[in-house]
Amino acid sequence: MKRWWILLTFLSLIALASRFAGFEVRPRGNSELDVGTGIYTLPTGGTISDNKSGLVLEARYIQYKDGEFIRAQGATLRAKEGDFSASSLEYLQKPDTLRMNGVRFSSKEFKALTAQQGLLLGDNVLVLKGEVRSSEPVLEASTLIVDTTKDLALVLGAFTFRDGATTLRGNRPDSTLLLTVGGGKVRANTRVPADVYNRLRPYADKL
Amino acid sequence: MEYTKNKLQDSRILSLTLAFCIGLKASSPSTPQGRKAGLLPLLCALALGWSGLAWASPASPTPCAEQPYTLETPEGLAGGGNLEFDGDLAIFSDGACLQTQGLSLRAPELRYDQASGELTAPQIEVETPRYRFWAEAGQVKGRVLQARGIRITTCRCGDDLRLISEHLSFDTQSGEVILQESRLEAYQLGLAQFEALRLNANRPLGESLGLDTLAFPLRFDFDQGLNLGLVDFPLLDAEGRFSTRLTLLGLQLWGPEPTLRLGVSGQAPGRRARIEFDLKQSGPASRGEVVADPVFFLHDSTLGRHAFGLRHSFTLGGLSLRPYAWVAQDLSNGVSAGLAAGAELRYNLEVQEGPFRFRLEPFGVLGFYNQPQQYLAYGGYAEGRYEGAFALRLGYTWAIESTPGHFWLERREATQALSGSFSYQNIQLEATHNFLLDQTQASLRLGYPQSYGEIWAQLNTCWNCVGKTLSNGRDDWERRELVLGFTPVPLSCTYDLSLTPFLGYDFLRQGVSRWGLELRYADCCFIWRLGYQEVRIAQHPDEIPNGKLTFGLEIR
Repeated sequence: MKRWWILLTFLSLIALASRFAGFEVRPRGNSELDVGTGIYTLPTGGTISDNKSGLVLEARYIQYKDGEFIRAQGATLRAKEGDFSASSLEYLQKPDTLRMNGVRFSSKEFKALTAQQGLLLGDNVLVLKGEVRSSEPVLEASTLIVDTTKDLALVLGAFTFRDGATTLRGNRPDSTLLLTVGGGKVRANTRVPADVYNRLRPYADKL
Repeated sequence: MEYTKNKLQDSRILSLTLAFCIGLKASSPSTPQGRKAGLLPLLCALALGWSGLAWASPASPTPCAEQPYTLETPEGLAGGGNLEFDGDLAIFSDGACLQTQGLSLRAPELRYDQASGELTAPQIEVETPRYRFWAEAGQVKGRVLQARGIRITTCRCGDDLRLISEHLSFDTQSGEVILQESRLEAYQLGLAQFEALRLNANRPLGESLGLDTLAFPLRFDFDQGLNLGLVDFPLLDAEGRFSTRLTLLGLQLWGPEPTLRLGVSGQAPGRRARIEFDLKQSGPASRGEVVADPVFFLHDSTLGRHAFGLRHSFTLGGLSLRPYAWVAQDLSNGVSAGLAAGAELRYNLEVQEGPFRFRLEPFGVLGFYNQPQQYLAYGGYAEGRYEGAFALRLGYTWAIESTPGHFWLERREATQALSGSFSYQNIQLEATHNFLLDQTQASLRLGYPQSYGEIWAQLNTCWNCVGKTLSNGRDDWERRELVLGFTPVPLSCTYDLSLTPFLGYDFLRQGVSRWGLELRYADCCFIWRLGYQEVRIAQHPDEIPNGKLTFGLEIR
């Protein structure tokens, strides 16, 4: 397939479905279009923002295709779930998923939540895997599934959770911990209701 | 409790094991060290074996740190099968535990209030280094456990020896346990009741009860007749301690002079008293000692020694001054009653440099009597030690009495003796040469340690000792004695047996000098001892040929 690279210097307004339903692209420098594939490349990065959903993506390098994907490196993303930064990310429109590597996430529930990998799904569920760390509350885990709409998070596997002078540890690979936020307090329960567990546990396998 | 019993029964079925606990222990021959000799071949092989059925103790529960979920709190490490924590209250369920210094607690459920730092739990089971106990409910706050409805035992399994109490307070830092309204039971038989009993969770029960050495208080042996009765039988005092002992003993029954001995003794910090009366055909005799620092009273009608006086030590660094004053009588030396007053001054100097140590302790005694006479004695002790790959000690003791003393209390007998010891692995050599008596005593001990115990041989000698008069007026004699024995490793299993024999041979008199055998049996709560020792050829002027049946009981 012959590739056509066309240098573009204008601002694009593209309508994408789902999370980036209609977004505005502001390249930091040049923007390239491969006419053969329809893929845009912003080699010096730029900003993609969606005025409807309030999403703003800034990155040092961006590649996207109308209606299909956005790929970025050295990216920060402001979303309603919180603020993300990632060494690399890939947004797929179908299914509506956002995959991240070297991710850092902050929200009103979590401060400085980092992980090796992250997956933000269309139904407002965030999955983090690999050296999951958070500074407030202090949490160390291998897998964390955050349901952003219900203000709860499910920890899977061995973990450490600190609250004030106490430190809670799950010592076994099959440990579970359900964290719920309410009234300014974080409640922790190792006995996870079956409906919550059955709903959230499968998300861990998607990453 | 049910849990423990069931686990025990399971383990009996599953792990019935044959355990070898062999013991041949030298029940320390009564001759002092370093006075025996001999060069003949060994007489006996002493390795006796004994096997016992031992079943393992119940499987240990999972350590708290290995529970599925743990919570580190200022009160210690809590753990359990599940945890619910709302930021203030943590509730462990499905089996919970608490591990802190000197305490291991288990309960079906445990609640921890982070704000107040209080842990509460029902139906707790607690382990300390020396005790296990159960309580209907307990709470831990500020490292202090308060519990009610207590059953406490020292037993490895079961609770045949136990204390039942209404309330317990346990300071986990100091290990002090206070039991309110408690009673002591053995095999469900009530032994004693206490209003407030103090125990140390890290120390043996016998020690807390004032039964430091729980010697079986029954004597049954033979020498010039049958000796039978109670010796130092412990009596409970008002403070819940067995600090008072009673002696009721028949001596030399069916012998040349049957004697009935009555005695009582007591002990408290800074005070002690012991009084004995002998009723016999030749007339009554009594002896006693009462000490309540600085006052003391001594009395021995057999020796004709009586004294009442004051003595107290004042120390400043290595210097100690001990003034004294007493009225005394010593009829054994033909000294009538008189007064004495004076002081003893000692200085203790110790220097250590690496493995080398040096000690010098000079002393002087100056005393006056109610007669135109004074007493002066001086001397000291110098010692050098090396403790490295081997241990070596050399010491010199000397004392000079420039004027004779009236009473045995102030006298420091003249002596000049060089002593030394050498120890390397399982070889120990000790020797003393007395220059004034021109005699040498030496002992050599060789040990052969094995996993089941130690086989050992000890040679006791006294050279050039014939006719030398000892300080008690008796004549000494030559010694060449070899004692062979076996000391088993301490019983650690439950339902174990061990056997401890020894055999001595006198090479000068060509005969067995002593022998003995002790059987030890460990059950869940006690170690029972039964032994027989016989001295056939006395090796020292203080030793009498006799046979002695010994009993003993130790709380595990």
